[in-house]
Amino acid sequence: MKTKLLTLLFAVVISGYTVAQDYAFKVLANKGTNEVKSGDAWVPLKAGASLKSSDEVKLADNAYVGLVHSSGKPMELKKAGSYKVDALEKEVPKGSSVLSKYTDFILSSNSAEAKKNRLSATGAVHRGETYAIQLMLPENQHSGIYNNAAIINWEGTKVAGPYVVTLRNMFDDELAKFETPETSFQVDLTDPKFAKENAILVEVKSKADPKQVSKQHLIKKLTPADEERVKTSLNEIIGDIGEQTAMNKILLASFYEENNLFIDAIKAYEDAIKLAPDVDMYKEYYEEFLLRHGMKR
Amino acid sequence: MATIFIFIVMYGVSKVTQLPQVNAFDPISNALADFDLSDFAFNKFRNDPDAKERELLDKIVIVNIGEQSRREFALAFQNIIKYKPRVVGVDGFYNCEGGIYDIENCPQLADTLGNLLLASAFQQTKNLVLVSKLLQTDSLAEAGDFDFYDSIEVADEMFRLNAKNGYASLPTDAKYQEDVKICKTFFPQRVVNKKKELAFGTQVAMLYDSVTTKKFLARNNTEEVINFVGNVEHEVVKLNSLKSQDLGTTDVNRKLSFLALDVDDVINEKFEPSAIEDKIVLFGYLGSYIGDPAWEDKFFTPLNKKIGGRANPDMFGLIVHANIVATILSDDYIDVASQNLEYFIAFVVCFFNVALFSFINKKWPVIYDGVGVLIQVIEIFLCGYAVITLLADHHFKSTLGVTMGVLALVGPCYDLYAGLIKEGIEKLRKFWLTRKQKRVLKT
Repeated sequence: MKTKLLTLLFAVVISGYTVAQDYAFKVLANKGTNEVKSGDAWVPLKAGASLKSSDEVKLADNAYVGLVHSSGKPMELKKAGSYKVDALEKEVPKGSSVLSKYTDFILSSNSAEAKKNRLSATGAVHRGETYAIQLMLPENQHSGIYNNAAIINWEGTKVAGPYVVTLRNMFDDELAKFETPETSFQVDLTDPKFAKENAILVEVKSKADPKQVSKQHLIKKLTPADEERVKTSLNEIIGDIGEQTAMNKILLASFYEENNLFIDAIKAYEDAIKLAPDVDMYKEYYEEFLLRHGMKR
Repeated sequence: MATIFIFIVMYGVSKVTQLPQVNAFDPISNALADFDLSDFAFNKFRNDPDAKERELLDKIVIVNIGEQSRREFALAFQNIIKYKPRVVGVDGFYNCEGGIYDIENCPQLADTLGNLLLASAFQQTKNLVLVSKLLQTDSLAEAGDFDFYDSIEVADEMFRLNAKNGYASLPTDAKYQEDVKICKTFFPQRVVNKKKELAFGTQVAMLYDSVTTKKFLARNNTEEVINFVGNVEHEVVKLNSLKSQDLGTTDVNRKLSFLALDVDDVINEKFEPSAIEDKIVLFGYLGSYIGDPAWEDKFFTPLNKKIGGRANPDMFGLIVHANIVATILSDDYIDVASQNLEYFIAFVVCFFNVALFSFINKKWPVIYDGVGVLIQVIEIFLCGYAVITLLADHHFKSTLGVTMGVLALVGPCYDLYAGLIKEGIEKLRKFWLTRKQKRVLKT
């Protein structure tokens, strides 16, 4: 009986130890399109996920990841790049006692306070501009497009038509100009005027009052490497959703959204609504998509 | 005698500095009016976070509601609730301020469907806590400025049908919501109109672990010190030159303590469901996005790296409530030294210091001045260490303010007493008590 009890106690202690040590870090904060490689595949990083020592984390530009080590000590990652988790573990600072912290504080010269760069702050603010016409297109950091067609929509309540849609290249040279009474316009990137351009800028203004103008939005073709990556992922699911149904278009829109290809997602939602104009649910999905990515307010 | 003299001087000095004519020209005292040495123990000189503390903090998940409308919040709320958290707290008012129910003053009424969606989501949630606010009725408010409340503001009925209320009011010196707010303590429970009301954090903790919370409430303290364990500060910096710097207002070990989900994380479900299941989820405002340097509903707490003078507030109200929940669930509370104990310690320390100074003065008068100053400096540092270590290691809060005042005054006061007062008393004693020559000759 005594042996059994001891064995049980030992098992409990061991299992407790194992539970406490089954992760290296936990993700407490995750901003940006960061990824984690656990095994062979890179998958999107999620808040609340646990990272093992063998994992690797990839930080996107302007991203931020807040981690906490299993010992309880936090760590921040702010610079873009790849980080091996076992290397990060070695960087976790060793703890120090209250007495040593107090002694260090008393003996320190407080030189950090006497900083030399005293011009970090300005007496000014960054201001966004307000535009009369709001295009339902993503911000420039999510302007990538995989397909060759982009649909541009805008609200027509504030500024009445007809409208002039201008397409320019990155050097501000005008590539094409169209006039339309509608609040929607489709750009065909296979058009010879745009075929050589990697990126084009779109602007919409009122024909009657050219001061009533939209912000210039970017539509950027993917790099060959990114195009290949999307193509590979898309091929994996295309067998299931290849049929031209509204539901498949909605699923396709979700795929594009997950890959931050919002312009392609817009086209997929529009196609779904055209295929099933009586289904209000698809319109709601589209509306929610536009709202959650700030393309419609 | 010298000990009593030092206390009289200290009392006199404190009264003189409180005079408006003196106080107005004392910017240092004004700037450091809220300074408390024990605040150091909360940020700079604290034991590092450990696995046990991590286990406690992992029970609480923070969700930012940003600037979402009620309809958007309903969708985000459902995305969390489906993963079955054990307790849900919503730190946002869902009513019309001032009780004015018209679309012009309360535009959120216009979105009827959004309101119904949110109300339905709330009604389907088990263990939901909504915030309320302690108020004074007009007649009570006119009676004077005192700490008594006879009214309570709650969410609209459709939202609170299946919810419990917890007041989010926190003790600060702020006169209105946007005023400077310094928060170190909270009132765990109050009686309003003969009914016991629980604080938001207390109510959340009660639903999560009633045994521990009842034990905490059994202490029966009107006001409890919040054992601030951590903050949520995400640094959203675009300038590369700043990325290697720590720009937080909280110590680096305490700025990332709770799992925090931003608006986008919830809408796009960019979180691990296991992080929500059976946990406490607190919804509230952390700026338009986490990392937004907004000051709305932001407090100064002992975790602020700058513990006195001008500084940025460091903690959103939601995280203050999360710290209250953690304080209660930790089952390891902070006791506070009574005023009488503070005076007693000061008196004992003063008595022994006077004895020590007197001894040194008699034995080694040549080195008395130098050694005296050295002893004072060492003792003040030891006092500082005692305050910090008492709080950090033993969860006992004592400012030792009176003792430090005594230590600062003991040297000069002893000199004053020995060189002037004692001599003067001796001369007076001789003058009055020694019989005069004429009277001696007469007898």
